[in-house]
Amino acid sequence: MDSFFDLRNNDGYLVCISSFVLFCILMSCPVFGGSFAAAPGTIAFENMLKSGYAETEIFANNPEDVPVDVEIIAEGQIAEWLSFYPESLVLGSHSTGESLVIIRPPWDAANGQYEGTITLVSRPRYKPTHDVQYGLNIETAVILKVSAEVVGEQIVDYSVADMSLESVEVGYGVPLTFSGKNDGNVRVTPKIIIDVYDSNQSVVVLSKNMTADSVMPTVKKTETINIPTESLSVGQYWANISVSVFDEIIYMEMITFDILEEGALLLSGDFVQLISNRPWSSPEDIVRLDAIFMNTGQMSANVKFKGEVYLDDELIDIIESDEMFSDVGSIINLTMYYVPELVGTYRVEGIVYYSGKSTYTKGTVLNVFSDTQNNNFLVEYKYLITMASVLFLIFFSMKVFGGIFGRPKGDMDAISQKYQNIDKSFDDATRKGERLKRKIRHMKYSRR
Amino acid sequence: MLNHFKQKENDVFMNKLLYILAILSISVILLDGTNVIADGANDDLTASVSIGSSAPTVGAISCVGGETFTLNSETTKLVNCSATITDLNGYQDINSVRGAFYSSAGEGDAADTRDNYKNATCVFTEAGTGTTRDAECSFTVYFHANPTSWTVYMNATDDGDDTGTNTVAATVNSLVALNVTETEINFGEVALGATSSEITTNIKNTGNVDIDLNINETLYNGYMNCTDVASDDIQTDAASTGIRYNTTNGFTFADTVWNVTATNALADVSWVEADQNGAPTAPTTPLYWLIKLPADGLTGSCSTTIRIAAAESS
Repeated sequence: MDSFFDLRNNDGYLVCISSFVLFCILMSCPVFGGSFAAAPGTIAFENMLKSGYAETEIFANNPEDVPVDVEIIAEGQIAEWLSFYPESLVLGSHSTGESLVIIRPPWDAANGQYEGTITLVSRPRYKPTHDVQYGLNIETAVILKVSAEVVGEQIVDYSVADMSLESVEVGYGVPLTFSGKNDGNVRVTPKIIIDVYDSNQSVVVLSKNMTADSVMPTVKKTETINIPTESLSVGQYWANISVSVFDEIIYMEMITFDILEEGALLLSGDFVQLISNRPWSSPEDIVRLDAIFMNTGQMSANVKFKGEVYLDDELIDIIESDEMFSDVGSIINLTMYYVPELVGTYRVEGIVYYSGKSTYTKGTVLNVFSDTQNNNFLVEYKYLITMASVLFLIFFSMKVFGGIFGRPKGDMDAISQKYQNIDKSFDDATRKGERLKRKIRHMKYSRR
Repeated sequence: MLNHFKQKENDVFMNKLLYILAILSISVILLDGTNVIADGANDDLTASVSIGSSAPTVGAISCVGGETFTLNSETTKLVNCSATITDLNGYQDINSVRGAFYSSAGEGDAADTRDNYKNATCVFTEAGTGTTRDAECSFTVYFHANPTSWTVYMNATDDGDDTGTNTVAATVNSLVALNVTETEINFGEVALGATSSEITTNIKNTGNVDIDLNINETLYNGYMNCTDVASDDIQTDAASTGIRYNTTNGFTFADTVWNVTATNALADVSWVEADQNGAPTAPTTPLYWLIKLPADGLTGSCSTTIRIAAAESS
């Protein structure tokens, strides 16, 4: 015993250490059971044609701590119709893999419904074995149920999405990338017509008809084709792209691209955003605008922002920053100030120019409203005060001077009657005077 | 005399008319000076315009890998979806985004890990420009979420507390999953002609559908292979010997019809899925095993492979 623990006894010391290390290794070995999963539980292939085609994906999930081999087995009526890519899987610990299932009904399949199964069997790659007299080794599996419908009607259903063009240097073709999905039950071969216009979109400088790769039923495919633009000179262009299937146009879009100078792609930048410090402000407020530019190229550049200010979609002003130097990999703020004078919704948008190149347009919105909190009482109610003053003057004058409109009709009638009575009295007095004159003349004649 | 009075009356009338005209003139000057009326080309008519807060709108929602999701057995899966938010008051007015992921139960219902996820993590993925800004929401979905049609929902709020929403249809695939906690069955030492002690294996349903089991011998076409060359092999589904199993503890060998063959169909017993509203626990159901040996002809050790396969219950 003493000799075993005597450190000078190397054999005992080594046995002790080795045992301890082996113990640690065994205790850290991954533990595994028989856990396995697959999806989807049921697969339905509908509206298939004889000699037709369809595909889908199946997924296998390994929740174990050790890698597993997955065998894929087709059974049932449609076993011969099914094929798998890949035919088997190797899944790492805690990972998911997929296999493409392709079904091809034979040319002589009758219309109707067919059934089958796909069994995925999981077998751990590393599994300890034990010597037992009577024992069973357990393996786990998942069965996916499959149905297929064979019909006689052709269905054409193809759609396009995510179409884009890249800008290239002069002398190169422009790559056109697009995604298409065939939801019908027949193969389709998309035809692509490309008309390239100049920067004003007025003159066609290039026309090309191209054919994309065929797309089988149920397949979604992304494809890139090259537009032969090698003869185009430097400048901006517009491509009108239409996609047709069986002579029917199913997609159309106008996309812009640039032919750049040789070496221009070394100079690259990104207009990150145009931001204001006061998206909500009042007239006469000073609003600060920052155009944030990131130099993503391999050369430094002199940068400057130029933009336009719109109010209710009408151009009312232009705005630009000072020119600044942008080093490779740097992010800089191009700062400007703007004072909106009128109330309304302003749209500010522009481009960052960097050493002869320009970015995409970006912008922001300024909401300018009247700030009623800063007005004093007289300014706020000046209209009301003014109208009240005017009305007061009018009624005061009418009261003091007895204006026409305020005099009651009854008084006017009385005054008028008075004047008429006076007038009548004068008439009576005149008549009496005339009669007196005639009497005096008669008396004079009588005395002669 | 009358004419004299009439003349006087006219004079009074004219004076009054002049006073009224003077007052009107003063009024016009006052109104024009304060811009109450605009009677000339150089007059400004100031109007008060109220800039209303425009509610944000959520654009089309798309998810990483498409809108059909396959979950992970007995754990969670991260679902990522994104959309472009638009606000006519400018992208800086867009304040926050929240998301939900739910099946036919509806967005307003209580959170439930089977059909309604509310605790989405939503972030803006880019700086924004003009009137738009992109956002992304992530949902941690458990393995037992219902295999049916789902809806991804996103809601954007601006600084004025106005909101906009949008949805997209999604599908959760049925996940057929099991966990057999034992990888081998050791019947131990069994005398010829005798029945072994009962052995237990535990089977968990770790998917989102009820499952039926299919248990078959797959290595020796219905036999246990014995290592001794001189020994017979053990037929697993013989009339009175072989291997049998049952879901009932303490069953007797002769009372059960569930024997192990090479061609068994799905057993008519379902293992149900987890049904908790919170974090789920995969339900476990034990399976009990017996082996009964022939009276003679066996030497050495005998073994085979049993495949336990799960299929979605019909």
